[in-house]
Amino acid sequence: MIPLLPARVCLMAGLLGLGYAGYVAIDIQAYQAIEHRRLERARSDPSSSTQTIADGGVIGEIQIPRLGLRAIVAQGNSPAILQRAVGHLTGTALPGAPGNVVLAGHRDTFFRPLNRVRAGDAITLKTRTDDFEYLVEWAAVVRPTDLEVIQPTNERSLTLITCFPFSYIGPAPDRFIVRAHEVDASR
Amino acid sequence: MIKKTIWILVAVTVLAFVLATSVRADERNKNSVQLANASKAVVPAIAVDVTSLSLTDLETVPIVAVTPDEKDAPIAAVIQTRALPNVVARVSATGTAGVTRPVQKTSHAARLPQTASALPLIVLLSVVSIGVAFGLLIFGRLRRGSSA
Repeated sequence: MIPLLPARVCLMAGLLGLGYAGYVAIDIQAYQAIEHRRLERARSDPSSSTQTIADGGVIGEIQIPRLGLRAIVAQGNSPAILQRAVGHLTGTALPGAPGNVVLAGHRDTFFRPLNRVRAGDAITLKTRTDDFEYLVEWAAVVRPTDLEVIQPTNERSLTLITCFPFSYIGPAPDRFIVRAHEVDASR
Repeated sequence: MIKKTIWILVAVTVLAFVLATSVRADERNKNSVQLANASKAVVPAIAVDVTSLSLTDLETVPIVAVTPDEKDAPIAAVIQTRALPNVVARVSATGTAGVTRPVQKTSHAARLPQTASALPLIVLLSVVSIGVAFGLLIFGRLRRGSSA
């Protein structure tokens, strides 16, 4: 007896899964490209200087040139937002404001290059009105329950959060934290 | 007469205890004040006499801060009381090779955001599924060929 039906079912399931993954990848690329263009347009237009802070609204763009990391930063950290962009944790400081700017990103998409981050790496946070330069101070692995890393800081800091280990498939048990401080805090 | 004497004895005992406690507390304060004066910095001090307290009481004993100008202040107002981060391993400037496993636990109810998508798992399951499908097809053809 030829097991044709199970083979077809497996083939269909596999193709559907790959199709979904392809759709998500294209959706991410399209969203990033569209929002990048919008951000650049808003930056060149002085009249549109209002900062969007509603959930899902674009705050700016994060760049780490040495790692080739460039991603749009959106407000919030719901799964839908984190699927398409780097999320800014609600309640933490906004770029340019005193305190700790906390950004979270998927380790298998936007923040994948963070596994090569080094102390001293430059990070640029571009908003509609300004550019903010940060330098990486340290990176560490913490428990998901360790909320100390997202607490407000006295100096202007930037904290990046992603899952750890990077090569884990499924919900990873720990969090990888990168802490940077603003280079020119005298703004 | 006897009753009156007993009352006087009780009162004297209580008074002596209160005085002894305050003297010990004063002694503690003196040390803290001296230290604060010498270092020109805020010094933490225990607000009560600890010699009569049990170990469990010590866990909740109030702490005050003594300022260099010999004044008591709320500890939270003058001294940073936040817990140190539960950092497991600092990553060296050269990479992530030295990262070790976490060993501490904290009791926070909330968690840091979940930052892993299901995409790698979906891709892996899809590839496995397609592999199984082709395996079954090849197995079926081989069986058909051998039976013919």
